[in-house]
This record gives sequence, C-alpha cells and structure tokens, in this order.
Amino acid sequence: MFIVIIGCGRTGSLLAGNLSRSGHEVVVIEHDPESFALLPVDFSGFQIEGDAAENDILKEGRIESADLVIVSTGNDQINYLVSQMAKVNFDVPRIMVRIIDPAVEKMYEKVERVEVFSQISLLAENMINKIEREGMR
Amino acid sequence: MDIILVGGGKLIYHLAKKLISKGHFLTIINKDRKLAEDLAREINATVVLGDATNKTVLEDAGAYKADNLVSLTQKDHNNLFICKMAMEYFGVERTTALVNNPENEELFNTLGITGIFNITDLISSIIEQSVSADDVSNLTMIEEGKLSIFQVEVSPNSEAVGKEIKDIDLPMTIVLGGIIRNGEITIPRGGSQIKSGDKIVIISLPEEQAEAIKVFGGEE
Repeated sequence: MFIVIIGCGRTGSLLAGNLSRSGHEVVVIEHDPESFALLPVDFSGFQIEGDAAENDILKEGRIESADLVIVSTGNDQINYLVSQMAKVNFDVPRIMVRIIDPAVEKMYEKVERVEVFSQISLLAENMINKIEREGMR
Repeated sequence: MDIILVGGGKLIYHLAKKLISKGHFLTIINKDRKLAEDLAREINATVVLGDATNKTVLEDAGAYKADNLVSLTQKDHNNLFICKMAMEYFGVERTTALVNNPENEELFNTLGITGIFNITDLISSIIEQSVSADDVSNLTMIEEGKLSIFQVEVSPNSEAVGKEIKDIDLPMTIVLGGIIRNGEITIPRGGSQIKSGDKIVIISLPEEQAEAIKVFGGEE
C-alpha cells in the first residue's frame, strides 16, 4: 500500500517506522525538520518538510495517489482541516485521523471515508475492558 | 439576530460596534484576557473568555440559540473547526469564516460554511487595481466580492470615445450604472454617447473588471 502520514511526532514516527518495515511505501509530512529524528534508522520511506495544510505540500507527497492517509498531528483543528483537504481536494479513498480531545469525535460522525482513533477513548476502553474481565474472575 | 463573533483582534471591535448599532445581539469569544476585558468594558455585548475550539466555551457563549457564528481568527484550521462545531453540535444555520489561504475558499464552501471572507484575495485585488490604474476607483463589493461596483474615467485614447453605448463592444455581464459628466449624473441608455473625461460607474463580476477598464481606460 502507498500510505501518506501527516505529522511525525511520537505517533506518526512510530506508525511510519512500523508500516515501512512491513513493506508499505510510506511518505511522512512534517513541518518541524527536527521531528524526523524520531524515525527509526531503518525507515526507508520519504520525508517531506512543510505545512500539510498547504495543497502544494500535500501534492509533493503525492497524496492524490495514496491508498491511505493517516493524519496524526497533535492538534485536533489541524487534523480536521487536513483530513477534509485529503478527502475533498484529493479524493483519498481512506483516511484515518488521530483525535486528542474525545469531544471532537462527533465532528467526523457523518464524514464518509474517514475513520477516527480517539486516543483517550481507546485507552479508557482498554482499561475498562481489562478491569471488567478481571472482575468476572 | 443572535450573533457569535470569534477572535478578530482590532477588526472585531469595529465590526461589533456596527452590528450592535444595527440591532443585533452579540456574544464575543476571545482567548486573550486583556482584549476580552477591554471589549467587555467598551462594547455592549456578552464577552466570553476562552478558546472557541472548545465545545464547552461555545456552549457558554449560547451557541445553541445563535443564528450566525462568525469566526475571524488568523488560522484557517481554527475558523473551519469552530464553524463546523457550531453547525454539527449546536445546529447553527449560518456560519461565516475568514479565509486566510485563498486556496481554502472552495473547500470551506463545499463543507457548508455559508459566508466566506477571502481576505487575502479581496485585499490583493483592491491593491492591484489601485496600483495598475489611477483613474479607476472601487466603490464597493457585494456578497463578499462576487459583484463589484467601480468607477473608471474615460481616457482620450479609449475606443469608446464618441461612440454610443450600444455600439461599444462590451461583455454581457458588464452593466453601466451611471455617467458622471461635469458633476452631473445621467443614467446611461443605449443611445448615450461617451465622451473623453466622463466617469463611468460600472457594475460587473470582478473577473470582468479588467475588460471594462481596458475599454474605457484605453490601455492595454
């Protein structure tokens, strides 16, 4: 698969490293060049330095031919704009978005082709599942 | 109308005063404490101190009963997010956003933002015109710049001099609204003759403006 990842913080760099290791073609877009240092040494994809909220930067990352775009910056508002750009401007077939504030989840409810991953909800869900499973014993 | 204004720096102060004088009820959201305090003191509006991208802040500002939300921050991602949040979470019907990056205008439109101020394009088109032609003055823009009304002085070497309006080759979308000659205004008819030095008030689409200026201004 050809995957474009927006944001190379702890989340983006971990995803990029693992996905490229398992054989996917990966492009990472990040505005702060220092963040690329978080990528593992064996990362074999491309790095693009720039603001992903600019159409030209997304084009540089060949987003129009991406099978999947993962939007993983640490800012919910930027993630919303960039995921809509990927969907509307570049017709990307599948978009995954990281969500910081769970209150934002509902913004994507009616948005087709976009899947949300709300880190706090996932964490809480995991913990609760574990507690409840153990409670049954 | 119940209107919520977000952000805006100095612009918001004057905008708020105008809207209040027209009888609207305003709530202003600003995250700068100093600015929020100044606004609360000087303007007859409810001022909420906080970040409008936060659902609770919008709720505090009474978003559920607002008729219109206007987001004027310097960041397009915040303007889009705040408008969409108002629409999706509180059912606000009309939202207006400032667009700082002209490329976002179409996207915002597609996403259902009802009013869009493409500030960069508006300002640059006005500056461009005042730089390129001294004898053109912009009178006003209608519907956020979709229609412009402006005035051109007829140059002696214009192809229109001496001709009647019906004989001048003009695009159909350009309408002549008035001829000012020696301080007298006449409403143009097909048979009105154009003279050098006339000032013509023109109503046109912004993209046709250059064509009209070429015909009457007599320049390439």
